[in-house]
Amino acid sequence: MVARNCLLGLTIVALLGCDLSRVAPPPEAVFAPDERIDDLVRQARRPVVEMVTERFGTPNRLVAWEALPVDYGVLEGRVVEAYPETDGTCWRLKVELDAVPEFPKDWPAPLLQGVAVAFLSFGGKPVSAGGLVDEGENRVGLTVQRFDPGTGVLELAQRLGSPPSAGDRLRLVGHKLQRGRVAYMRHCVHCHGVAGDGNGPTAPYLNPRPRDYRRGIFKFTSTGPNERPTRDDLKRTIRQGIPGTYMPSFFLLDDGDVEAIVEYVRFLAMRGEFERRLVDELILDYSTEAVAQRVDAGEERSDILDELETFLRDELPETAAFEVERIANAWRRVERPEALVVPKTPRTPDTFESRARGRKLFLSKTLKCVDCHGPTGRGDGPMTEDYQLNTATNEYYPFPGLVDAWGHPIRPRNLTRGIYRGGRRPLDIYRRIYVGIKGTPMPSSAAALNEEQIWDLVNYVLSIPYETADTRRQLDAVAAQLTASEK
Amino acid sequence: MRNFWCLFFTVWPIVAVGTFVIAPAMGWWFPTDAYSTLGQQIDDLFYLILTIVGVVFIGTHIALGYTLWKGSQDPNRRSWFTHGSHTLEVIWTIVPAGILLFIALYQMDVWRMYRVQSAFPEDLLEVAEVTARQFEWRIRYPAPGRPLQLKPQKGDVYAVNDLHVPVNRPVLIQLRTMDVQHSFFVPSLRVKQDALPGQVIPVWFEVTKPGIYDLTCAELCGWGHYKMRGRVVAEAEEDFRAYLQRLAAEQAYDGVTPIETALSHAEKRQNEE
Amino acid sequence: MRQHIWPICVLLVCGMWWGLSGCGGGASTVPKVVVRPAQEEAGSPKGNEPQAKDKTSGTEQEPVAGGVGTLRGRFIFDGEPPQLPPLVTKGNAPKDKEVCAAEMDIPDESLIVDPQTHGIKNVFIYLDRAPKGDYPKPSQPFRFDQKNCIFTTHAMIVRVGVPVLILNSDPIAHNTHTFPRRNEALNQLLKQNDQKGVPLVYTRPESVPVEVKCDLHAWMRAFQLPLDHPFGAVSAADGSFEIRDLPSGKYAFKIWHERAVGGFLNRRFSVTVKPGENEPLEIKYQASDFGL
Repeated sequence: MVARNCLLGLTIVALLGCDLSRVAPPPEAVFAPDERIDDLVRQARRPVVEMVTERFGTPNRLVAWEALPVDYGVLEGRVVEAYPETDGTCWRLKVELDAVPEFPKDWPAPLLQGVAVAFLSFGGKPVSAGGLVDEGENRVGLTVQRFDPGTGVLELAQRLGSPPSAGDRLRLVGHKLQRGRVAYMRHCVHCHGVAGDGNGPTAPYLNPRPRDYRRGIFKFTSTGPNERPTRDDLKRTIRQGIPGTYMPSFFLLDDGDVEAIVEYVRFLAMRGEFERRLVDELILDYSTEAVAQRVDAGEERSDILDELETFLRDELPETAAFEVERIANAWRRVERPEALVVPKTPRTPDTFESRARGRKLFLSKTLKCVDCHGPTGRGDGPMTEDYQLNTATNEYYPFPGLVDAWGHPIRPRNLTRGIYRGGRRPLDIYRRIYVGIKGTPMPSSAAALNEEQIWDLVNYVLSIPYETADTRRQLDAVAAQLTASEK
Repeated sequence: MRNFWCLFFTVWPIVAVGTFVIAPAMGWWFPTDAYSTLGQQIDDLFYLILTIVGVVFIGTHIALGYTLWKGSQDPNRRSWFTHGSHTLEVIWTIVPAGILLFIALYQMDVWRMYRVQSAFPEDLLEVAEVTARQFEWRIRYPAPGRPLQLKPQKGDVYAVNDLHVPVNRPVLIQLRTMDVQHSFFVPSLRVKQDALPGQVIPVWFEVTKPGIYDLTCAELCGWGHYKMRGRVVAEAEEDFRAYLQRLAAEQAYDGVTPIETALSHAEKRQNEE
Repeated sequence: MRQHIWPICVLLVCGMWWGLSGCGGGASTVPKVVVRPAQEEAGSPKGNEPQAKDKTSGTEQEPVAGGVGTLRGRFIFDGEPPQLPPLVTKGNAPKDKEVCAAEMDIPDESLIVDPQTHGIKNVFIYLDRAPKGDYPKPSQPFRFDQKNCIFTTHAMIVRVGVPVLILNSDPIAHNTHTFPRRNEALNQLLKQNDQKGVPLVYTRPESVPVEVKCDLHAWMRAFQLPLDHPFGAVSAADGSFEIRDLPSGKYAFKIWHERAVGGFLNRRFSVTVKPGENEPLEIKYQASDFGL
């Protein structure tokens, strides 16, 4: 009897705990700061975090910074009528929006709730600075509390000093960003992490590791070397997945969700790169280690900190302005059609001769494909057994083989398996050869090969999964003949 | 309190019967009809078993309720001691065994058609190889006009999470998995087959109605199990061929030659053949 | 007692329903959005390269009116000059034996000390930020070659906006892979005997030299420091360096060497430059500064 009562009591306690956890809000999502921020001296850490937060916000209060080429989801409209304040806490306006976005059925909040409101004109007068006002603080950070698409009644979450007048233009900014964040947190965050740092809860168990967006480096793009991916590239990756890795295909995900996720990933990438660059600026002179060394070298600690303060006040904001411009340009540039890497000539017909020429190139000293991919394309070239130097620490990595830009071991592709991470179209293989694979040792061969040579190589690479020792011998014989006839 | 247990056990058969009666109207039934030939037979089996089990369930509960009611009527009644009835035990062993044996034999036919390769339909079209992996379905079709081979061939056409099949003809997929166990489950077609590492399992079905059907994984395969959403698109045979042609042309895209041109070339070639 | 079980059971079931249906978390909270206008803080030169202030962190320039000076000096190794063993001995290259280390050893260029003069080669001395001014750029591109699987210029200072022409004088392919901080990385394959070259243009100055590697030959390393001014030098074989036309004033130079512990040999090497010739400097470092 006692035992039974104990059991009953325990169950009740456990269930109560469950219920309480429901009453308490779930732990708030945060953007984990760049790992290297911990290496900075204390006085440098906070300003960096603050600068990034001020410009990009937190996961629950995102900043739609208009300096960035991100489509946050903008709805324009017009005030039809401003209703008098009812309960004295918020404003109600009747508005006419040019369009109302479609939200998924299971959208967890009232339509447009939390979206930013910016007036283009207020009280009949135009408003400058992105619709955000003069100094009147009560007009900054306006958000939608409720919107009824049927009646067009818009309730603001904050109170305004004076009412807008009928005919004022306004913009609702951020519905796409919201949708991207919600969809990202549902589908992507497990691996890619809240901040897009490739460090979600499942990340440690995955090989290859999920992409860390914060360097702006994405491997499989249709753009030139060093260029960011286009929206279409990211969309393709989400839709098709990356075979051979843990990135699954989200083929059936709603179009609106995919587009919103693409924008949100771009947003996170820009945020991460911005943060990274700020840390870069500080880490050389103001890391804990550097400061200790400088003190050893005879400088006064207080002088260094004064210098840091001046730097943070006078120079870092300018560097930040410059950096964001550079990052924004890099992402803006790739959306132009001329940014795409497109072959000038159509694919050479996939003949035996073409493959033979391709194989010759594959084995040649011109390209040295073999050094990584191995003579039979198994991805077992000699470089996979070489120890590489870590450029950051000047020490050899403790494991043999190649290393990517994120410091993770990386294997050259085994070309015999017929799994092509960036896609299996001839165009995809062309781009991998022409552009290289960003963030990896795979270099761009644009300067070393002409158009026909790349196509020959594409033809050969695509035939490797089906080749045998016999076909290899035949190809070599044909290649030898071709060389002889050339001479 | 005296009649509580009696009422308790009597309520359930009534609830059960009531549920069966209103279920179709309330949408508590199968999400859709079975849109495959075998699916209808599988549903029939299901209904047969449901009927048998329903009758037994209702019958035993009525008997139980009656006994309890009767036993509670006379407060002075005393229970008696018994070693049981041998005859009765034989009966209630043989009758259920007979029923089970009947079910086992009766379903054999459907089972054979579904699982035994020698009983597969003659005009099976081997449409694709479906490879499950964490967490997606990778699909490999043979090149248009070619038969499916066990090993990947040059010209094979690849897709992911999107399986197209012709309608009104038996089709076969070769099911395999790249990592752990998965299960290929198309609820509307009543097709469910585990994919086992190291095995290639042929699964056939004949879709009777063109449409788009959900493809899910029915074997908890890891943390992203719920992400394994795919679809089966059943379409007219010529649409299926056109789809495959188009997919092949897209896969051969070189960034210069328009896909339409490649398609018309392929068509011409096929007409010549 | 019996009678109490029922309400408790009902409570339990309800509680369970309510408690367990409260899942969700990050994916079910909708974020608030606020707009931030495109312009940075008012008055900041949007998109322009941050210009050095007269009084800034890295350097303390107080240009004195009148004249430019030339700064000369030598880096000297204080102690027994170390002789590092070659990275690859002749004929023992792990790959491409017919080219790499075919006729000579591949030396370890990470620290080169002249046995006679004790001069340290390949030490970078430069101003992180130069005094404002318009400095003429070299008209010719810089050349960066590779021969015998060695980058022929191990350490060089280049100018922002002036191309560095990457060449290949070996009969095998190399790839040139840079690891900059502020600039975009380059990873370009160079075919054998490529004398046409691939131009590499740095668009921004760096605070420390950029490492250049060849992924195909793990031992190949070089360093390039892009600056937007001419006030930097790499020491020669005898450890000597020369910086010309420096407006007179007080400067804090950065002295960097690839083997230096923590990167820098000196983060702030203060010098006052007078117009005309200046007293040659003798800057001494010990083995411990290089982690030896």
